[in-house]
Amino acid sequence: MAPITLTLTADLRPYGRVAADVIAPDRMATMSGAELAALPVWIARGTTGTDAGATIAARRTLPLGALFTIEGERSDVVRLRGDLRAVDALGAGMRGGTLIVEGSVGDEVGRGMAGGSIAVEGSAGHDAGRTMLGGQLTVAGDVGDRLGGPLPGASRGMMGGEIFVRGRAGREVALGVRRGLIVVGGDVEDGCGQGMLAGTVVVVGRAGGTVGEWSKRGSVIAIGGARIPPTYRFACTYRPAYLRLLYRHLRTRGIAVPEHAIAGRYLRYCGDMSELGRGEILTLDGPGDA
Amino acid sequence: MSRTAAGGPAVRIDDTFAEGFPMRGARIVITAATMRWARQAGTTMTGFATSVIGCKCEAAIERELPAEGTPDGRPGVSVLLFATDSASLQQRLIERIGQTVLTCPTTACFDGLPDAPDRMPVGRALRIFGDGFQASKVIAGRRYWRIPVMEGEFLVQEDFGRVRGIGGGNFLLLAESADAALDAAEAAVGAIGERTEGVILPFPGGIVRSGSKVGSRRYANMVATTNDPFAPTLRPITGTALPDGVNSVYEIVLDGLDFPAIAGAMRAGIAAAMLPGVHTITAGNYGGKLGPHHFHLRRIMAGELTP
Repeated sequence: MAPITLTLTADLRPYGRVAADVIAPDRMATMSGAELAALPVWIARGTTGTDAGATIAARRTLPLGALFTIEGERSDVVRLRGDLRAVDALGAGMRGGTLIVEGSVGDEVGRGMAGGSIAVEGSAGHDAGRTMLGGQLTVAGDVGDRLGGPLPGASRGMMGGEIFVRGRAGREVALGVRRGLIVVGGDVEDGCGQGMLAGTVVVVGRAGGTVGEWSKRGSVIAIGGARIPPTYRFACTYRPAYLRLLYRHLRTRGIAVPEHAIAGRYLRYCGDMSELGRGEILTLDGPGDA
Repeated sequence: MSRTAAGGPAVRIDDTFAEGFPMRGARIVITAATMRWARQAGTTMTGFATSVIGCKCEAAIERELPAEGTPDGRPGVSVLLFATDSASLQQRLIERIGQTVLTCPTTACFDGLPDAPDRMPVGRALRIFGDGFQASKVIAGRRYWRIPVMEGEFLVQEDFGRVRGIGGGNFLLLAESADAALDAAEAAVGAIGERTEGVILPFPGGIVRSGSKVGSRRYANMVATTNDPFAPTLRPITGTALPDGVNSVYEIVLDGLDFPAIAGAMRAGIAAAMLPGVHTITAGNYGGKLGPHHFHLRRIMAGELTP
């Protein structure tokens, strides 16, 4: 079955940001072309644009067909084209299917998704994978702040699934994560692993600033090093068996884990001692046979 | 029916069958820092596991695995373990992995039957050795337990697959001398080990010198006693099954994950055992009363490897 292809044809500047949480392959899988075109897309403002000659100043939603050219129907594979940096919440709540984005996207891609896969071939904005429950989110470029984090004011972030970012990530990666795996191929900014309840974060680059503060049981693996908070205690130097398994898995997902990270020893720090102290930060000590 | 290996002697293959019976089986993949320690763990885990009669399970190393063929990229071995029922299989795994793999330097332990829908929570049971300090990780959709130990950490998969296997595949090598019988048995074991997957030979070195019959002529409490019809020293005083000229017998016992695996292994083993000094190759059965899986020697040697 041919995929559904959505090509952004409208100029989004008059609308500000666009919330396209209707674009979810599992929900689109049974829809005809007409039904797809009628799906409502929320816009932040609508003061100057026109839709087929009609003023849209009063509207808060537009039909999907007014913004995108739609090809195909009744498929759980959806392909998106165009400059989608102002389009938020793509794939929100999806439970299956495949969403492929040929370019960069806005905020909250994959928000609350529970299954299926999203592949962003460019970069993503803030809050990617927010409150994710399952499935797989892959971003080929960089992401903004709060990757895999919670809703504003909530304590629990991501609760399952896998996020792979091949580029860099902003502040507060894995904030409040409960379960799941987050992998960043490049560096991350301040606050990585803050308030983690459990789950795993792998930073192939360097984790900047504070790491793992107020974590209960989370694991932060900072291959490129990290500044260890004073509320963590050094435990030992060793080769964690599960990392070999994990790294092999990451390589199958296109994350370039260096060979010395697989063979090397790690410094294990336990913390956060101001919480349960069952969390850990692992940093690469360097290759060696000792 | 007499067959010859290429240029070899004529060896009679009896028109009979080995009688296999249902068992429950699991495949365990053990990895370690070196093949030496993987092999050590596998050997220790499968010790005292020759027969369910006295050992509660039958187990052996199935094969050695190169580093690129294991879950964590380290050298390893795969072990097959069989028991008579599902509950027993699970308990044997908990006991043996807990006592022999967890304790062995550098090892990790993984399920070797990931597609089996019937799962046993073996790692979940073992985790409490960690006394509350254990932690789990889900990697590629499967949960693993990290159990802190003095060396560092022991990693074990949460659940292991369980399948319906077959026990009791066998063939007997009747030879003119003990030396000839042993040569043939060793050749059979070598051929099976080189060429087959899904099969183990649970007895020492893959060879049984003390085949048994069910029950006893004299002792009511004995489940199995010596197979006197095949004991050459008893030829004149028991109902012998030995042809003239046969002075020693060895048995090869096979357990496997399915019928074709055992049949293929028997075929390879029998073909390799047709050496000088071997008189007859036969098999043990109980007239079809013990089990539903019948491995007919002549059909197998004719290439029929399915029931």
